[in-house]
Amino acid sequence: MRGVLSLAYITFVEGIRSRALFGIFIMALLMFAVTVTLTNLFMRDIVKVAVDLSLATISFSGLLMVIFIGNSLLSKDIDKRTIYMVISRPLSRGQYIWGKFFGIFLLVIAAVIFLGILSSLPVYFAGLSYENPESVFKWSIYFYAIVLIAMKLALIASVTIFFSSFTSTSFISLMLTIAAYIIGTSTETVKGFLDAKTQVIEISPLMGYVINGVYYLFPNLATFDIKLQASHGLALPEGYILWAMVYWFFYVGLMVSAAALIMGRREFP
Amino acid sequence: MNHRFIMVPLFILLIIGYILVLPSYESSRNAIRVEEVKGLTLPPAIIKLLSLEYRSIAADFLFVRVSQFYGGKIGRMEDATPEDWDWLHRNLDLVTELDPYFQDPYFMGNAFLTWDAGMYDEAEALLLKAVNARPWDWNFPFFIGFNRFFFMGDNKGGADYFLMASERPGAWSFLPALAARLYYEDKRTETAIAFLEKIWQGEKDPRAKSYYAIRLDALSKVLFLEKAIQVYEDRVGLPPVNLQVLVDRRIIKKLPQDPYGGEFYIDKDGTVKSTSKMAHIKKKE
Amino acid sequence: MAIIEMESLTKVYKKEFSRKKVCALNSLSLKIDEGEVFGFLGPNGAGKSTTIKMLLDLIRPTSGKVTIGGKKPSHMSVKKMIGYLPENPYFYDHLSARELLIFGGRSCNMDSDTIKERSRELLDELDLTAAMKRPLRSYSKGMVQRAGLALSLIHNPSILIFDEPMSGLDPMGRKKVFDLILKLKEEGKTIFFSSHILHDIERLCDRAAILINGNLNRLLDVKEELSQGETLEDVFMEEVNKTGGLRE
Repeated sequence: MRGVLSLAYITFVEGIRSRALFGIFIMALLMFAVTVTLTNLFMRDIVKVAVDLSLATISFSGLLMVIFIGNSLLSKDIDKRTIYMVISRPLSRGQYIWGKFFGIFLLVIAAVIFLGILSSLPVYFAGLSYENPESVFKWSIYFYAIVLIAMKLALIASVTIFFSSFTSTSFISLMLTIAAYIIGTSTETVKGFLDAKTQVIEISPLMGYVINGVYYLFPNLATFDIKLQASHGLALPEGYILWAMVYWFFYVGLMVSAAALIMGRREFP
Repeated sequence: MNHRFIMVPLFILLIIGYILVLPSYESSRNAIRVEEVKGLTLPPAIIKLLSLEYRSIAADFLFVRVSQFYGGKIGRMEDATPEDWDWLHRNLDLVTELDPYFQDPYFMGNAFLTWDAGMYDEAEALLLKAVNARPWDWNFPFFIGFNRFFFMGDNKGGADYFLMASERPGAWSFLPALAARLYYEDKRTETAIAFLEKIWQGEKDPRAKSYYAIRLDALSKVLFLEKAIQVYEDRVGLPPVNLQVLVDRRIIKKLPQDPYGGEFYIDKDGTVKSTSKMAHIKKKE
Repeated sequence: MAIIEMESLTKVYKKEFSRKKVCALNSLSLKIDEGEVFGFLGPNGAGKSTTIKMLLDLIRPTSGKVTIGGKKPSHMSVKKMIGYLPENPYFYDHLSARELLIFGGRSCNMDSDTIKERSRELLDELDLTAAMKRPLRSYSKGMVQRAGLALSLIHNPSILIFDEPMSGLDPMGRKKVFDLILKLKEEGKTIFFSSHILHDIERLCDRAAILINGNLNRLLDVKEELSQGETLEDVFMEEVNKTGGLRE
């Protein structure tokens, strides 16, 4: 167990010290500054716009971090042969995978906390500068939105880890992760179109099966996107966060366990 | 051969050349750009998919695009064409598809699609989205009620919507009484002025504020003329043939000026209208 | 007493998208005794790294058996006994040597105090104390190699497996590693290493094996067989000529 934690720690440290992360943070800071100026373009819903932009910044920066840095923390381990330094220790392949995941998970948490606190500033200032009696913004929902973003990022990290466990180069796992992200974000919308049955275009039954299959196979990332609720202060149904966490727990568990199993059979010539 | 003697002047020449080329390049580029800003509106489904998880800010940016375009037109004192109205409507619809809780597009839609474009059904369809999405908000059923009264000549519908609005938090306390009054009496212009005054007071955006101010000015002049016509009718028993008669009869000192630049006249059905077509309440045909 | 036993160890690689098969190691049978220093030599591509990686469960044999201390290499207890230095070690860029050793120790369940003490000793012995807090990225090739050695020794393993430990080192670095291997030999550790440098093998090893094209050509007792004035180079070239040249 100590070995897993130690591996998680050095993975985390490697991520934090990477130059790329610094660049992503600078970008996020710029986006927050822009948020403050952009709110002037709007009439009534200034707080909504500030929340929209702040949450989008956290989400996007976090996404860049997980996709590029997360990928390099694992796939490049194999590419650049730094994996030998770890695999030759008395750590099983499974322990290696879990250690990596926890390291990236810690990185996500740290980044989201940092960005989350920063992002509250534009939102707070927007709230001050415009007295909108109709404003229904609540900090609690904003907080939940940030928590869900962190969960989503950790989930994408687990998908990266899964792909890295069997792809031969870091580039392939990068592309697959990006594809999984796009599909995961869109899958609920597409299924919604299918279910609504108000298409002009005919959808064949086969297409219907495919869409449903993709919906259940890929992670439904829309679950973790409550930006609309946060920006308009809409209440979440009871137990929503709980069920989201359950779904998250199982999906992440499956991804990392599968990666551990696949990695167990892998050779490093 | 010292390469620096070539590199540095070359670099300077390139910079100068770039600066000189920019204006012509830009005008060539802008020839297409103006069209592009207005032209393309993708179906809501596609935009929903394309914006991934960034639907809300896509809505925000689309809305900015709409208000900049329209603001630009007003700034250039251009008249809006039917295509412009159609574009406005489609884009406001799109913005509200992406974020149905977003207030600004509904307010804009209500302001322009009714008074200026005469697209009453489309305005109501848009506002209905807000009524459903924002059940805590009294503004939107109120707007629908207002439109029903003044533009669609549907007093019953208007009263119903006013009552719906009054049941939502923060509504004007006199709404039910007003609903009743409007249902039975026909004091359109007076009530329109009262409402617009309230809206004008609550408006923070200076552009919208002046927009409403001009309309208020026009309507108060219409009211002024309506009252004068009433005085004439009480005396003579018939409406006047034209407005000049009112001046001749010394009921009013002079004819008020239409802030929209037209001329007031009295129509065959006895209502006050203006050649500018902006200063009166267009009834639904 | 044999501590490492290899029986008909074979590794065949199949190329992707083709029927071509490459036999990297052909039925190697070899026993390494506890406490001996064993040298593995051969030309590039002979199968030395392949053999070593099979000892570490980095790759698995296509056929044949290998045990260390009677157990398969995949056992965690086996890995704890082994200190490995790969050919051209690569480390995480931003880690320092000290952090590397802490990880090395923790992964073997050593306690913090022992780790602190041993890492201090090792870093001192290998002349890395001055650089121990700097990121590994900034290290010279010799320093990286020495850091790798430290990592392989932090948990005080009884078996050392080094793949080309002298590769890329300057003469001073080579001397350091040489002396270290001698010292470990005195401590009774089992050392198994591969090298190109025949001179080092002559001086350090008890026994040596010559591997060519995946086959064990000759197993010799260094002291005995070279006492007749032959150098290891002579023996080596003899074996190469016997095979009729090298494969690419």
